[in-house]
Amino acid sequence: MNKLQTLAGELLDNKEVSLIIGYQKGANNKTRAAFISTSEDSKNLIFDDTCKQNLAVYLSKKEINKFGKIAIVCQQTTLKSIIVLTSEYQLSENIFAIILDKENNWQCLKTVEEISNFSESNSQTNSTSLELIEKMTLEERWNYWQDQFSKCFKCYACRAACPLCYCDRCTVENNQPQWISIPSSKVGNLEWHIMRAMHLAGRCINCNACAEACPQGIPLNILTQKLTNDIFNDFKYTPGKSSTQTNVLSTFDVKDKENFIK
Amino acid sequence: MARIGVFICHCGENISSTVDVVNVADEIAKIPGVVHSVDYKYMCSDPGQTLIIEAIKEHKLTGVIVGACSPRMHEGTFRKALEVAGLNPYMCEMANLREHCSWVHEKSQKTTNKAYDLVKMLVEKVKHNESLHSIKVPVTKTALVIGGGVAGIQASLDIANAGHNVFLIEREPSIGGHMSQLSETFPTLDCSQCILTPRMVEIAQHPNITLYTYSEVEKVEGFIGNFKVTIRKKAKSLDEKACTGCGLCITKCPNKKIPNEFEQGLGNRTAIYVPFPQAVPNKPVIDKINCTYYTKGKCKICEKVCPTKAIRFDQEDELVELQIGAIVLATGFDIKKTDFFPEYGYGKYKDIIDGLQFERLASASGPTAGAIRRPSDGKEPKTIVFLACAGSRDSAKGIPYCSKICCMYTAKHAMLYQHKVHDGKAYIFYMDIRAAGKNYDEFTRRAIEEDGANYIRGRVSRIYERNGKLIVVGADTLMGAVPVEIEADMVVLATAAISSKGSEDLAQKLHVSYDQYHFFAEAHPKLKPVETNTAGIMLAGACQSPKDIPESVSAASGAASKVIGLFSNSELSRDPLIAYVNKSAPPIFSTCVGCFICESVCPYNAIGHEEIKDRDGVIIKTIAYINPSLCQGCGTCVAICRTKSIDIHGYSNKQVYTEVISLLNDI
Amino acid sequence: MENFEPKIVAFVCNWCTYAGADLTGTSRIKYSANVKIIRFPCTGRIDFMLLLKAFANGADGIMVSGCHPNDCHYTSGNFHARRRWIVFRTLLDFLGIDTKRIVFSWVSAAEGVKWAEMVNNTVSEIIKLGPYKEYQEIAKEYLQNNEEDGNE
Repeated sequence: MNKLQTLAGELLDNKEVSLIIGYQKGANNKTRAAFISTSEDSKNLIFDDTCKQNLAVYLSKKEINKFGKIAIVCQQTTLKSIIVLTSEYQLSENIFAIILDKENNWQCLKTVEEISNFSESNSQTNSTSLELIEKMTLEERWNYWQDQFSKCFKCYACRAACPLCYCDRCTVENNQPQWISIPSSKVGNLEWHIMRAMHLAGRCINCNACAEACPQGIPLNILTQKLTNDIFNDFKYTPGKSSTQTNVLSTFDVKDKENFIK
Repeated sequence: MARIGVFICHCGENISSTVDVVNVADEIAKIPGVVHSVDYKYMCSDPGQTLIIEAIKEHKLTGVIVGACSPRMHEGTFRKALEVAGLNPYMCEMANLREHCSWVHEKSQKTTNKAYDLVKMLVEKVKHNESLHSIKVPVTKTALVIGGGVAGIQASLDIANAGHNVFLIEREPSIGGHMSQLSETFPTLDCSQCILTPRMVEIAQHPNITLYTYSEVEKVEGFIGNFKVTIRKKAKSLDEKACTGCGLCITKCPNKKIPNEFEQGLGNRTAIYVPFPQAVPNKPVIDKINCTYYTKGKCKICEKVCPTKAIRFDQEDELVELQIGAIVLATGFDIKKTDFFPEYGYGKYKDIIDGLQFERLASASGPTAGAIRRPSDGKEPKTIVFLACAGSRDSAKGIPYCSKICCMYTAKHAMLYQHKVHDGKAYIFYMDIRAAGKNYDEFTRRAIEEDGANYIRGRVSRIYERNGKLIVVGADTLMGAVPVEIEADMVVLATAAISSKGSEDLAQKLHVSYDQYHFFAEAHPKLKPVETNTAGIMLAGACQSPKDIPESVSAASGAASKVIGLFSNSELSRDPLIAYVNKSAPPIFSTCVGCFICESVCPYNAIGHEEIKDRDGVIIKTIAYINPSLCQGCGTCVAICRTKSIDIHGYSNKQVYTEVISLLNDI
Repeated sequence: MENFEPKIVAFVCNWCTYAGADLTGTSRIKYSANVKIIRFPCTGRIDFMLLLKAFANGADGIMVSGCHPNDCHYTSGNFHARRRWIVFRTLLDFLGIDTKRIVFSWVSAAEGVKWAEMVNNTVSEIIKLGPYKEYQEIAKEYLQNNEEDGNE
């Protein structure tokens, strides 16, 4: 950790970056995001098991962008978020990624190529809850998700926590026409979560920030995991592999399956 | 406030016999926003249109719904009526009450209810229609003709004679195509080259035509009126301006054993060659694949003997960019070779040849100076068997279609053979005799009655060799399927006509549709046989389907007339039903976040990046930009945009959403 | 269920299926009146949220139809639509929404007979499945409160 603070301090002193995004202890001893712009403040930086939040969510915020060159303390998932954001033209400057390597040393990855090389691939996520739901009947699945969605009160924390939800005007904020019913209701919740999952299809890198952020404990990450797995099976596509990747829904293969089309 | 006028058509009795049109008009009048709702016998007629025009003026209508036939029939008619009345033509929608309702359902309340729902859906949609104006696009009045056979030649001459510039490109070293390989043409037995070569010379000398031979299309960008085509002029290894066509290099070239493509492999040529003596341009090219210098680094005799020093071994392919307004595809056809037939020996018997090879034998300028000779030993064949339908009309071989020209040229071949070998015997195995053109049937009768061709109705199951003769095993179905065996000296297969090599690639470069046989697809099989669905690209000749010379020439003139029609306007009007990215005032500028997923989805590359800058030139944000000249209005970008920043005129988010809601609800 | 008249919406593309349905009409082939067509320039234009809106507003079944692969008037719209549908169906099925109620097809402008068959088959399928009670239940509150859109 000390090494992290030193590294951060050096980056700021050398003016290689003007801002470091990391983790620090906040109110009530809870871990929160840190925005360090002076080398003095770098002593606040921590890194332990409580540091789980995907900090990449801050990279597309306008308040952050005006800082210019930024370094960010990363997990593997954060790296993938950076790669996807780059492929979607959202990151204007090269981001420095500060991450622990396998020998527990802090690495500072300074280019998108280095970040891509460092990122470990995991095309499919296996989880017992996902498998359990897949084994249910249609009716059981409907009841399960209706039950889960009944807890949702449309706080949109899932949207706020996701690094890939950077749209200035979300579809749900459209009222000409009103695609998604805004208030918390059975149909409104269902529509919102379907829309969210579809908009993340082929982009989500399974950092689970959405499920962590949900105050009602709805397993939102299972929805996106299901799509990630099936997209890999159907199209051999994994998001977050390269910064020049095109979205899975804006490309196609002539041989895509069509056994369901008459 | 919307003031909608609704006009329900009886269409004589076509609609009114199953749909209660009066009831529909009455019920629709109750919808808020509808201020005028009537029914009439024939809305598309003059009095019908007058009804609409008068109503627009009298009731100050802001939108019009016509419940009648399919919009694919009369949308244009009613849009014009609106224009006459002074209302924007895009404020009109048509409900399909005939093809989708009255003609396909029984007379019942259910059918009338469906008609009501369909009209109501469009009444709600038109409330969200906007006034739109045609987009004007400039037209470059230069045509590109791809393919220098008889169709390409005809199209080029027609367009050039109308006063427009034409670029004619051909991938062989000379224009002329397959017609230049023929000896005589049916039904007149004209000498093929005699009628073609004057046209070829006309091309070379025409002031409006620029000829690029030994060239191919590399890339096509743009759209109708504004194509940007990149041509690859393959290196001929020759300075064409210096070359005088004296031919000395050809006589001196030591590499003489290369199979000659023009002679269909029956003769040889040199490495530096002109495909045939009447070639246009009559300047040689060096075959880089076989030339001794290019393969082994030795020789260069041609360079030494050339009196004008025209040989250029270091010449590279040249890429030329052309601004083109319209393209004519005239890439012609090929035929299956004899190796396609396992039952006829997989092509290993030298004396089984195809129709084009026979043409070369019969041709006075061919490898045997017009004498019919067996390729194996050079002897004169006394018995020739001709097989019509070799491969065509055969689903088992994957070619279910008729190749159209074979019945005629087989009769012609039999006649030519008879004229040259008086004691020769010609047998023709046929399925049908298709001789439908002018003087065609008389021609085939001549072959039978005057020239003694023996027509046997049946197919040939096998051909094999025995003691230097070809044993042809077939059947005579008019004699009760009696087996027939003929000992032939030569067999000529009238093989199936197929699309020319590289058609699929070219079609994909041009975004032109093609069928499973790689023949290019016409826009409509009856009404638009010389256009494609890609605006600005026309079709001429056998590249669309097998054709004879008169049909190819007709199609070429047809395609040329389409091009000339296009060029007769200084501007083209484009339908304004295209997509656009929303823009708003600073500091938002647009809800687009610049993710550019739309860019990768557009089939026309119509979407690019637009930088929004402040007064000091600093970029505030980069958003998507849709080129209104390129967008074709498919709407795929609209559906894929996550922020809903892209919308499309005519099928906007509000419009389609409203259609769904109003169709299903009883409001 | 007796006298169950399913409400089925068809989202079709203008160049192929709409023209194919026109041909069905010109050929006077009769089919069930339960399906009503909404016209789109291309299947690529069909937003998945429109299908959700259809169910929420009382549709018991949905048909989506366009040009055969390689025949799209706009070259690739139907390929993008196909991918979108593959992903959407996976999601819907996972959430317990009955994907048998959405019938996808390729119907060309020459396939008038096929369109009639598709409609009739879809209608009998939906009649067998019955009204889409589950979705209509949850959408009831939405339908009741539906004051928005459509009417100015």
